[in-house]
Amino acid sequence: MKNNTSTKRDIDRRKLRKITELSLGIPIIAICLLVSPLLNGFTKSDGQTEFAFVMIYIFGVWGALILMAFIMSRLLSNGVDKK
Amino acid sequence: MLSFNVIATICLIYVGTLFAVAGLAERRARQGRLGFLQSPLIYTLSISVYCTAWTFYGSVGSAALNGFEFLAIYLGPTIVFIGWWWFLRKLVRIGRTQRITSIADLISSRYGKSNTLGVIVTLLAIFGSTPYIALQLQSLTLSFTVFTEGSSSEASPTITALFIAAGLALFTILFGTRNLDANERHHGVVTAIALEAIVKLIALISVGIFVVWGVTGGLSNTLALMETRLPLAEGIFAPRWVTLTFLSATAIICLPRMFQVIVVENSAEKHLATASWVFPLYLLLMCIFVMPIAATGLNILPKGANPDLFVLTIPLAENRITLAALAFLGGFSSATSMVIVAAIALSTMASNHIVLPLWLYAVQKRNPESDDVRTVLIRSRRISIACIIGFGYLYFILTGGTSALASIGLIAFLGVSQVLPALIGALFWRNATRKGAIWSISTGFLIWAYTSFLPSFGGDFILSQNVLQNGPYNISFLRPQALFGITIIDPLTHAVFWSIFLNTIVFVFVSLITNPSPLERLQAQKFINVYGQNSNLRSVGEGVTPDDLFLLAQRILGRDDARLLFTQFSKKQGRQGLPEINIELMETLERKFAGSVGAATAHSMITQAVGNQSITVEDLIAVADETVQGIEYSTRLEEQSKELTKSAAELRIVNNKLTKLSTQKDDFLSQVSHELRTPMTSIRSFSEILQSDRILNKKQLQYFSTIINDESQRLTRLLDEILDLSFLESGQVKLNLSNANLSTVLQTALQSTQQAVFNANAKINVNIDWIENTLNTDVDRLSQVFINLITNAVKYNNKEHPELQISGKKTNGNLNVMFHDNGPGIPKSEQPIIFEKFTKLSNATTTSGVGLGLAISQEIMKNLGGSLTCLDSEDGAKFLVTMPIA
Repeated sequence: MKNNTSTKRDIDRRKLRKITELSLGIPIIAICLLVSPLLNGFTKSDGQTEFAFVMIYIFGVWGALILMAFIMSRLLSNGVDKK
Repeated sequence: MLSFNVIATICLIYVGTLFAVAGLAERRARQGRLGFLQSPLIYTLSISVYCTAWTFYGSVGSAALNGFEFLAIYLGPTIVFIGWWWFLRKLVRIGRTQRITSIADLISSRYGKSNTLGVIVTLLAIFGSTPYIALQLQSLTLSFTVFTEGSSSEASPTITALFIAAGLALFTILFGTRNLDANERHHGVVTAIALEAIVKLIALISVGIFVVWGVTGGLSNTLALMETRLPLAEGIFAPRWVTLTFLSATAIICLPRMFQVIVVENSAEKHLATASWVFPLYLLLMCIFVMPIAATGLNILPKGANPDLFVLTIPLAENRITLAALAFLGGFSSATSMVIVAAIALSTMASNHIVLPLWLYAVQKRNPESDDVRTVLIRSRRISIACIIGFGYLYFILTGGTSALASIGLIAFLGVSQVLPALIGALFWRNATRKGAIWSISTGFLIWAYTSFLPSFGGDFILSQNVLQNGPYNISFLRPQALFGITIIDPLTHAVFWSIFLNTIVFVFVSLITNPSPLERLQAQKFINVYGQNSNLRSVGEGVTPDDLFLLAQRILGRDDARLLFTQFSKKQGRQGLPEINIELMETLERKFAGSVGAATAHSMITQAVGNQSITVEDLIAVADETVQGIEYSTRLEEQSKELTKSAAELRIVNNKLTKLSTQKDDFLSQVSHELRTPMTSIRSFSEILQSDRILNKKQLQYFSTIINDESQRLTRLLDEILDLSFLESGQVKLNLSNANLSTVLQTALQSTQQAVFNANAKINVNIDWIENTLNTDVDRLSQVFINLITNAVKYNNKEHPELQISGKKTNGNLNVMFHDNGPGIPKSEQPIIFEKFTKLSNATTTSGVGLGLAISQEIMKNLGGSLTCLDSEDGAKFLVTMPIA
């Protein structure tokens, strides 16, 4: 019984750790997509449709990040101090 | 067109609403009905104080001038919030556990509660925030002038700004200085700000929707318009983009007002989880219509119109009075919320780190009572609020209307960002020291002032135009906007790079060459290990070396005792030199210290030396496990020893029995041989006489042969009895069971003993009432018992007229027959042994029997399912025969 609960605790802890490690990925993705030369892939070339494209890209990535943050906040809320 | 008076009235009504909301919220909070006041939504909305008038009006202007650039200001905070788990959570946890009241408090507390640092950070914050407050006042007056332009009632901007500043100061003083302990939170202010957050979002989105669908005519038109009207830089990713993202990410952490709403006003960590996605969403919504508004403004408004005011001027140009009023309220909300929170945060810092230390210093001689301090704090906060807003107003008056103010936002961001290296060190770097922090912030502050703040006045303030162009004393090496001869085109990027770079270098370098004081180490331990259980197992004594503990122990226990103790522990751990620090060692030390300095002091000494988080949950669990195992083990041992005791007792009983049996056997054998010997001896001697050649007469011959015969008969009888007894005892006897009357049995017995009774002149009384009962028994055996009892009663009776009373009673299906004589009786001490084999009573006079009679009788009764017992009696012997009725 004692072993079972401690194993369960271990598994829970490992799971939470994995989620937290995953949560570090979101800001890293954000930096890669929004604060890196990747951005210039959408703005370098000339042509009239680019403006809308950049807008969709930036706001699209932004929205996706918010969605990921939303999912992650649900997963992580177990790990925060309940007080 | 809205007149100034109308807009002023709307403004007053709105402010009145804010006062009412704040007042109600305060009242609810005081009554303990926190409810929605503590909801994550209110928390998240209050964080939107990040979006000031600079966002509301300025981002449209920025978009009109620079295209996408303004987005970086909102992407930085987004990145910080979606990565909340790794930085903001720790910041908030520290803020809550250490009761941090401001960013200056955090830095000062971490670096050994250094007030010098508190003062430096406070001054930096005031320097950085005053222009920002001025910017808000300017936005507000500017938005007022939009309504007064061209009308007769023209109000002076300075007067308008003064009224606004006074109103803001009043609100902040009323609702910002209610509670002394900043951790008690300002529910009124936060709720009012949350309301303002909603107003500004709705205002901006309303204007946006109106612009896209009401003015430009749909999405595709707007997109086309944006492409023609807005500048599109060749590549968004550029040094300036990175710089702006970095600055805004830093600002959301370091700005005093942001620290106030994110950390100080936080009531639950889980609110941060909600804010991690709701706040980025809020920022996205604030940004999404900025570019359409900018493009449309450029399109429909006359050339030269201030793009900063497009949010207001487009609805006015389209004659949408209500929308314009809403937009005005949005801008008003943005500006006022910033000023209010900034004033609260700065006043807390100023009163805690500057006014109170000065006051305490001034009244050092008198012992101040706590009420005194309270009054001073509240008063100093109120004065500070007035002063800070006053500074902002002064700054606005002095620089008002200049373009310098427009760019001040980012410069202010950079100013407070100088705290960042020290802040990150505070949270993650154990070896960061107070001196490192002081030098770091001071260096950053100076470089910021030199490369960014002072040049922002365009040569009008301290640094002249000439210095800006050619460097001080014409040393081009030190040109404020091209330090060390390195040209970075964008002055902001230049300033950010040099100030943050040198700041960090100095911080790391000074921290490495200085040593933290014990208090700094203690605080570092508390800050860095704020999660406690998340730290690794080896955190026992992680902040302290065995040398430290040894030194401490030497000071308290004396050199020799300390060495002895530590050597013992080293030996136990199998180590050379000093032992590893573990719980056992610490506990032992604490106990030893307690002997010298008392328990409380000892505990605080050890915990201070090792830090508060030294014993992890894992350690406690391990200790508990060990204890449980110990308990289980000892319980098992106890059970085993109980079992052993029990079996030992059983063995002892068995052993006793065996010993007794063995003794009995020995006794029996010796008795038997003795009993056999007597008749054998006489038989042998008389037969020897017969064999001798002596001539015996007939009479003698008869006599001798009679004796031999008698003795042989006696021997046979004895052997029969022994055989009989052994059969009875082993249960191998064959019983001749039949139904018989008790009277028949008794009659047989009386007849058999008639001769003996007659010889002894004895009298036998038989009570015959019960005598007709039928028994299922062995008649011969039962009569043998009776005969034995009657014979004994007669034989051992020393009276002249022996008497025997035979009476009976029927109880519980048993027949009880009592034999009561008037003889000498059986002493109580001898009662237990009379049924033993070969027992003869000590006072027995006649000794013709061998002592097997009673033993046989008892065995017979047992075999018949009854019993034979001897009862206590005062006169004569009393035997009770019990037998079951058929």
